[in-house]
Amino acid sequence: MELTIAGLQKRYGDVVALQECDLHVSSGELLGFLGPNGAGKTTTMRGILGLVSLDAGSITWDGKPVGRDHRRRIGYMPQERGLYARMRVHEQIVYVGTLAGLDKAEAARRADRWIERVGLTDRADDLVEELSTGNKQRVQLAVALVHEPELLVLDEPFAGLDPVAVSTMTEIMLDRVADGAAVVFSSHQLELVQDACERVTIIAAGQTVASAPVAELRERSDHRELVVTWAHARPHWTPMFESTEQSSTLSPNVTHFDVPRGLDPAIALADANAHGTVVGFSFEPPGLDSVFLELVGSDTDNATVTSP
Amino acid sequence: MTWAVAKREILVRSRTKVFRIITALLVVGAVAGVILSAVIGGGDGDNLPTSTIGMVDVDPTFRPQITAAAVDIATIDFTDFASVADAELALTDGAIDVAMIGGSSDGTELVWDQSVRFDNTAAIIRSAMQQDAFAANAADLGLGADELEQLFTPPSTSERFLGEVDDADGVRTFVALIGIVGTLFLIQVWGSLVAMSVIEEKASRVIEVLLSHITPRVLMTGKILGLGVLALSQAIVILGGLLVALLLIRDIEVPAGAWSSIPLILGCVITGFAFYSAAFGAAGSLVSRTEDAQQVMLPVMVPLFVGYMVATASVGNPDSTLIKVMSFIPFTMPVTLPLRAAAGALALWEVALAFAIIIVGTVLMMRFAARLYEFTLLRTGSRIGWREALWLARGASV
Repeated sequence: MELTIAGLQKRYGDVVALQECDLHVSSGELLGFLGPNGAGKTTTMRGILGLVSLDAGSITWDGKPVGRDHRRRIGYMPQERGLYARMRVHEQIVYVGTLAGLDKAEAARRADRWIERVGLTDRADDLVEELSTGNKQRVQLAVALVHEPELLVLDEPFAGLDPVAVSTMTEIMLDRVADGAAVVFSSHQLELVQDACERVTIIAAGQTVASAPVAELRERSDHRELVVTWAHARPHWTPMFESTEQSSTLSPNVTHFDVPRGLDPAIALADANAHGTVVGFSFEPPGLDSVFLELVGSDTDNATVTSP
Repeated sequence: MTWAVAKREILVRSRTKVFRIITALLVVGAVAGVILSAVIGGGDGDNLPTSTIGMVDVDPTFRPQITAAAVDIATIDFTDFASVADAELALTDGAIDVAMIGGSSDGTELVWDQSVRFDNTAAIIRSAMQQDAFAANAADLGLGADELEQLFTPPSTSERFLGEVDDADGVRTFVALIGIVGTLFLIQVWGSLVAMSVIEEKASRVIEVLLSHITPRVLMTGKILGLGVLALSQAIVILGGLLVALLLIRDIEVPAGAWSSIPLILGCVITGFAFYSAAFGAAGSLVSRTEDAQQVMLPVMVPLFVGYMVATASVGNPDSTLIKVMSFIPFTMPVTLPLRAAAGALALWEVALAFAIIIVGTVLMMRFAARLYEFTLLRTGSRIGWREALWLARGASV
């Protein structure tokens, strides 16, 4: 299965939500969908589900425009979680399962399975309103998964989760991918995205600015991260090459520089050795968070990028 | 799928404490009302007025004759007094209705308070005395009991009424009015619940999950179906309780005319509820917080109340042009048509037309609501005006 979004446009009055959004995901792939707040991620996701009418562009499923039959094969977790407060956990999952076309017995069986998988077995008969935020989110994921969709669309699935829940959520997503499903999720937790996803699509101000494997994006960056670990407290060192010192150094014997891609690491190492005893040296492409900032511009309106 | 939505509404609503308590209270209230009316209205169930006769010097064996003469007219109690003065005092106090004074050579004297409206009691006593006198005179003439009976056998007559004013008409109007009040309440209470249910789904954003699987129309139809089934079930439980209580406790006979009105009233309740629920659903989709519900629901209720007021004001005049027109408009049909039908002023084609119009109206209203639902779905925050809503729905159809 392949989902392709091309040239998506959407305006709300004078506000342009999407200008030229492209996205592509296929079976067995976990795609991170990144962008600052207000970039249009949620609108795009709602567009996939047919929850907004789009002004232009196309969304196709194996080359055909996405229709109701396709949408039944999508599992969706909206950003503003949506559950019936007065329904029991099990009931709720079964209900959505039947709406997705499962018969009741099958929906009940799958609900049991997913409740166990997300770790809520002992809360299955509780009302949703009695659950904590994290547990509600687990229910929301089970609701999205009950019909075992071919495509999962998850809008900020990690927001508000504790580390244990984050790891459960990630495991389940990777399991689905291993089973052949396609998963698109948005997140601001870029370190997590960098570890979990092979590929990401980044949008800013309604436009896709990058869509590539994480490694390639990092490689493509004009910058490199130079990290030097000294045997003793870091010496005063003004490198002979172009560099910007990063202030975020935690350890007192580590120096962290942002340097141009073209720098020869050997020159840097020689320069460092001239200033003190070097015990560690790394010259790496920047992390996804830095790449993200480069691409969307750190001064983008409302841009708040959080890395855990 | 529609039925799945309906079942959820039934399940979730029916298990709320509020629903159970209100249903129980209404049933208890209906039964209690019947019991209370039985206690206050006299337990014998005959509903006859009671008269008390004060007796001075009257042979007690005369009493059964008075009681016999009062059959089907009144229930008679007797009180004995030692003197005329005592009886008169009781009369002025209102303890007795008539004093009957015997023992005088002039015959029996009847006394009552002049300030009290003359009632049937004196006539009953006279009639009893007359019977007594007839019997005595007949015995004097040598007639036996059989001959006496023969003498007083009334000629057989049959009765015939001209004109249509009969009891069944009154009963039908009464039943129609009860039906209209019931329809009004049912639509108002349960229609509001449809709106609230829509708002809840918008407020909790569960709507996004639902609409990724089903269309707004299926959602709306299912909701109306579910709440409608629940509303009717509740009404049937309450009316059933009332009817059983009436039959057991008051031992009433349901007039034949009552049953014939039921199908039409039921039809009006069901179509009226469906039509108005769709309108309430549309109203609900305009807001995203329950606090804003009241202001969008009010305009929906206004035509219903206007129809109701016109209907109650037209009881004596069910043929006015106003009520005729209103009985064809979907907004007012449910509360006006039963009244016209009860007055017998309705041709079959008119009933058919009125129902056809409201059914088409319901389909259109559902479409409007579903379309509006789709458009307003992801708008949260400020309320959308009705005017803008109409524009949105029209824009959507282009």
